[in-house]
Amino acid sequence: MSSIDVKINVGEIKTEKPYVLIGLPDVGLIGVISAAQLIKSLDMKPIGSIDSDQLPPIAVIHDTVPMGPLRVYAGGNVILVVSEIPLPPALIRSFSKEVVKWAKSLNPAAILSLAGIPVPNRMDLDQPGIYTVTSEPAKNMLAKLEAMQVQKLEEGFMAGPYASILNYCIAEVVPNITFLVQSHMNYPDPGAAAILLEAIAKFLNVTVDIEPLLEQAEEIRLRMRDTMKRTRDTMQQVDKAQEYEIPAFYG
Amino acid sequence: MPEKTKSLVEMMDELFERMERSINEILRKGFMKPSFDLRHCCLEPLVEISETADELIVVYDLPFIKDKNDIEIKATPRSLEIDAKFKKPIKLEKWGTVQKETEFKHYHHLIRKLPVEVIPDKAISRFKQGLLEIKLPKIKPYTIEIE
Repeated sequence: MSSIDVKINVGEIKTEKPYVLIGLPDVGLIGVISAAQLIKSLDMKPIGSIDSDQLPPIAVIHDTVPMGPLRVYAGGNVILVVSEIPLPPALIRSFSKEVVKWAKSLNPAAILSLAGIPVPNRMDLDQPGIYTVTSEPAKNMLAKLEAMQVQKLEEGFMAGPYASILNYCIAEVVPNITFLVQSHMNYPDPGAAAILLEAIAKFLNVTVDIEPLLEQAEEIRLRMRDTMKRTRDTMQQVDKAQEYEIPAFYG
Repeated sequence: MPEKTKSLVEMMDELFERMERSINEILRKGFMKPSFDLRHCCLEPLVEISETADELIVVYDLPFIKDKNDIEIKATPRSLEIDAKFKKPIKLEKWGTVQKETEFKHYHHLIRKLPVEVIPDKAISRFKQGLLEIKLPKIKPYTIEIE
């Protein structure tokens, strides 16, 4: 299998045992919405970018400042990898492999994936639940997760970039916790992102202001329509609907 | 009976119809289509279509729409059109340069050809937290008895 070049352009990181958070466009845009709020709330600073020949030639402009769509931020003991564009399916494996390899070199406390899990009845769900999937080296954090009253995902499929990151964490023996909040699949879901962020803040023992997410929920939904449309197209290509299914093995 | 010769106008009509269908097909796939219409001050909402054995379910995400009375739904056996008006025009402070040129007044969305035929007068809908769900019962096929 040929591998695609992915370059992580980040200087030396001196933070000891950092938590590496991943926020990518996926179900309900949970990762992107959460990442944007974390950057603001924790006053995180950009420390680098991620590039690949497989990325579309896109520059993002924020407050007149141009930047690449895949960036790395840092604040306190948290490193955040974020993408403003859905990853092309052909890039997902190489991206995940390189990010996990790079994160491993930082000797991280854990990689935390900020994700959503689609539920068909989200419209009737006032308080979405959170599930977690934990790779073996993160088992020492299970007690902490249990105290937070998040549930373990017992059976199911994951598909897309977070599944790939989890797989590479298993292969590289890196602690990974994927947080999956119940959310809309095809609509931006700031309400669900706020619930996820509450859990992440508790886990990291930091204060994250989630009020702006709730106050600006409608604006976020409106603003992110185009990103959601593009993400929906890539989710179809990685067969995201499989997350509604149950695996074959039993017993 | 000999086939009627088509007039130039009829041929042009057919040509334009074919061109319109081709353009709509390209637009349906999202190619080069913005999610707003500056001329009509209109935004295109996100929409999801799913099916059960008996129903076609269409859900629209309509942020900033507060009141179900501001939404108009029109359906035929093969099409669905919605129009939802904002109480006051929307202009976001940090929006793209192009979108900033106007104040948006409504959402509009037209599905010219639903994937299956439906019974529009038996449709039901509900509006909750800015989401509009429309359930359209499918036309049931006739059961033909074997003599």
